[in-house]
Amino acid sequence: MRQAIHIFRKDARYCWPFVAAVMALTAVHAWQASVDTPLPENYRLYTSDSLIVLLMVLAWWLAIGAAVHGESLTGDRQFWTTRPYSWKSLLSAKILFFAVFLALPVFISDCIILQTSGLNPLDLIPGLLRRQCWLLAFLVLPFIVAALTRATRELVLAILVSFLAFYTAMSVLTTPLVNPTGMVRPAPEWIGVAATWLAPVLGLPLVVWQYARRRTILVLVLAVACFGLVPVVAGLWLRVNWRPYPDPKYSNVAVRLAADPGPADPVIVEGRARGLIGIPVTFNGWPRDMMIPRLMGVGVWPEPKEGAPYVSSDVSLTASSDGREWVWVPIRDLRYWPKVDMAVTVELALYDRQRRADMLSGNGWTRVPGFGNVRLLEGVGRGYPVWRTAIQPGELGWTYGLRDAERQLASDAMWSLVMDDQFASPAWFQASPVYTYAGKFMSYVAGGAAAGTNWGMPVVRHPSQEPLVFTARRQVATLHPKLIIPHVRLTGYEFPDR
Amino acid sequence: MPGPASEIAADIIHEAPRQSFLLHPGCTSSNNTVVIPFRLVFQPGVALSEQIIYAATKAIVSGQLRPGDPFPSVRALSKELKINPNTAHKVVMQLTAQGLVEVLPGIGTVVASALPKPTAAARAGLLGGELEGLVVEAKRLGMQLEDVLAAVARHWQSLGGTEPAQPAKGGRKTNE
Amino acid sequence: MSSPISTDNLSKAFRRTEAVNALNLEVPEGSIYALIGPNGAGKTTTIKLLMNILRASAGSAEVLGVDSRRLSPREFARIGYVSENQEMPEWMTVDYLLSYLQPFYPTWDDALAEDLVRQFELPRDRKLRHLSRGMRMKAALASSLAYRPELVVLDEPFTGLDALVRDEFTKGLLERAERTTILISSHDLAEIENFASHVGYIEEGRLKFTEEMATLAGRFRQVELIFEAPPPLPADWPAAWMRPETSAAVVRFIDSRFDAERTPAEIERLFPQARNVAFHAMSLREIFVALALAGRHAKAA
Repeated sequence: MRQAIHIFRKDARYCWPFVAAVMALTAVHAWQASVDTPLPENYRLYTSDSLIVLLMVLAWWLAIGAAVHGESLTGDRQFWTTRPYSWKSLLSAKILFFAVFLALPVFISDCIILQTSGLNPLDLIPGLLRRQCWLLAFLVLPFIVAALTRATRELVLAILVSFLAFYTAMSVLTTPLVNPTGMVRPAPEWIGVAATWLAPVLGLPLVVWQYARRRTILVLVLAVACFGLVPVVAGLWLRVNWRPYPDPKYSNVAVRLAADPGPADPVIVEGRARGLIGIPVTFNGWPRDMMIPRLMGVGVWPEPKEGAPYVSSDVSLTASSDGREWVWVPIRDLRYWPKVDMAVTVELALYDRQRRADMLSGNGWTRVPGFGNVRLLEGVGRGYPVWRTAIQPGELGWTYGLRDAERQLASDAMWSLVMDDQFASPAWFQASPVYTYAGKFMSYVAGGAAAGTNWGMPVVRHPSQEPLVFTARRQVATLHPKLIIPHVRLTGYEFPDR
Repeated sequence: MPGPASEIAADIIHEAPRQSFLLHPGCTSSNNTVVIPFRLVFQPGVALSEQIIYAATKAIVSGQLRPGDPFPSVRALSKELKINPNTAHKVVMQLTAQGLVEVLPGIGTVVASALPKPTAAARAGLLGGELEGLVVEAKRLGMQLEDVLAAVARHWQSLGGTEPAQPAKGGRKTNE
Repeated sequence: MSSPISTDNLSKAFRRTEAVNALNLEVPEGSIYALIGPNGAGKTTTIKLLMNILRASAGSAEVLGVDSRRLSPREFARIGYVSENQEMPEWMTVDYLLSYLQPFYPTWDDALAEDLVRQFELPRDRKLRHLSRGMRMKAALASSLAYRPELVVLDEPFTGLDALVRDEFTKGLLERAERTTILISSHDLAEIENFASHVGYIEEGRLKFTEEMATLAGRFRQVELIFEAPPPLPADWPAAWMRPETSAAVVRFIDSRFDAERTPAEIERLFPQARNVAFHAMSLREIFVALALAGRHAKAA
């Protein structure tokens, strides 16, 4: 509509300082973020990205406030209410303002950052548009606050109050829920997603209603209810109705002995010079390749049970050539007892998604279907930070593994994200598309021989000529079953001399 | 109804400064200040239109406004006197009906060229307000008619001019 | 054509006070309607209700034939509103204000806007926030007259303006007052007395009376009676006679229902000993003071 464009031009003229600030900060952020690796030594400005992002967000809020307050919707002293303004044109003009001066710069900055990181923005249009949707969700809150206030002073006050309330509500929602046995589980992810989309879904109609009817008190009450009470109520309801830990969904998952040891004989299949007892195990209830067990330790009780158990962490799990899996417990420590009971503690990580691809060495991007773009970067002789572009923004629970084709890197080194994904919920808006959306920096925790550290985490060296397989798995649960092995007889074996 | 040509104003010397203004045909908004060519102080209680008609009539009859002189339009009256346009309209209508003012196409409102000859009674009528006030006040003070007439005669002579009854020449009238 | 403004038991309550109480106002077309009343009587509130700035708590109002709650851009394009209670966009220059508003009004006349700016001697390139109060009101009026509205609503436009600016304002308004209905609320009674055609008196949210200015001026008289010796006041004092005062041999009161035929007879009847009777017409200001005082006494009683 022509009136909308006319009002938009007036707003552009009136709010030009805020527009200039937003543009400048977006440009600086784009420049800052389009570095090769997001390491502190590579930062272009004397500050981390987070300060610039904070200022950018603040500039957005103030720009929205300035634009909306040009035709304030509250009070009885406004100039425009007795002039032939069509509320639809007015609202369209404000939305046009946000689209041109807030969303478009973000879009352009995203494209620039992707381009300088070696990705083609045209391939990632859906993700870019999704980021625009996140931006919309994020900006609905200042929009509605501005539509309910009259001047900057009230806006700032409302910002503080609403941030407080927002973070309180989000904390209520996303803190782990505790059940009577003391085991914790994170709140389900859909809550965070819902809470984020609650903002535009509920907020936009409220904004439209406020523009159409200017019923400030009513809209204010509804807005507080939606943004404040709804997540709080949902969180409280969840606490009341949350299923106990562990989730019965996983009750079928078990670790079992392949053979029943029987009351008297130990189960020894292979004896070794070093004195290991091998116990065959099977894993049931979940696809084996989506299950990663880690043996934490073994407790040994002499029979009859008295006193505290002897604990050893020197247990391991291997597969034999016929495909069976064995838990190996060293018996050199146990030669003083004729018969023992053993309890092996297993940490069982369950995954529901697995993505795999062969990694290119060098600095190119590897497309991992169903996961995103991953980039293997040879960091200054110190190891392999891996970047990732996500189809979805940060999701909880992904772990990553990098192996060569023949052997596992550092014996099952598990790479888990150190940053971002651990804390990310869909509600977190990541400023740079590459850093999180297009690329994620990860260090890894290696279980094996480490050589040097990167960001305080051990790294593993690998000759770069060998091909690598990248696996990403999405973890859904961690179980701690106990593998009980009763009546293990330890007589009749030869133990090595010291 | 306009009567025969009169020479009321022909040979009267005027002291009042005259401000002329131009009225161009087709001029819709002139930036000139239009001055009301007669003095007027609003009194409460009497209808505005009557007061204006009264003042205008006095000005025309006394010769302060000569035939053909520009007279403020309805709009100018309303604007300059800060009165309702309807009131201004009424004034001009009344004056036109009495033949004192006419609206010429292309020129605007002017004092009528053919003014009706005012009779002595009419002139006395123009003094009606002042006379009434004089009588009321005199009665309040308890004066008698003879005293009032004597006082009037004294004032007449002290203010100069010839004897009262010389209507054709009009006398030298000084406006206040 | 129906009245440009008519209300039906219009009411507005703020918390516990009734700012406007069952108002039945009717502004005739083409009139210049003066809304007068003591401070806090509800004049500004009434106007805000008419302009849909406030929402009525009861009753309704019709402006230009449309319910005031449903005033749309179509109606506002025919209404000019100037109020000391309205915040102008201070950052705009005079020029920008006019050029900004122009596309909103189909009947905007650039030449007329030009005229008004020149007549009001407004500095074109100065921002509104750097204008004096008088200049700002003139700018507001210019921006509200340039599209020849059918209805002009003015809420205390003269407040704080010096005499010259008041003059200019009034002249600018009246010059373009043909075929326009004007509703003006003001305390500046001397100013509006001359051009208002109708008057409405509001007190405590109620419309006490509404009539033509000529009728109002015609029925109020200050009566002065002179006696030989001060007489007692009659017991059956007419209700229409206000504020009787006695001093020495003079009795004064205000007759609010003066009739040239009947009142002298009435006085004759009640005060046969009066030596002299004088009737003085009252200005709007004097009428207002008499009414306001009477209202205050009535409230106190």
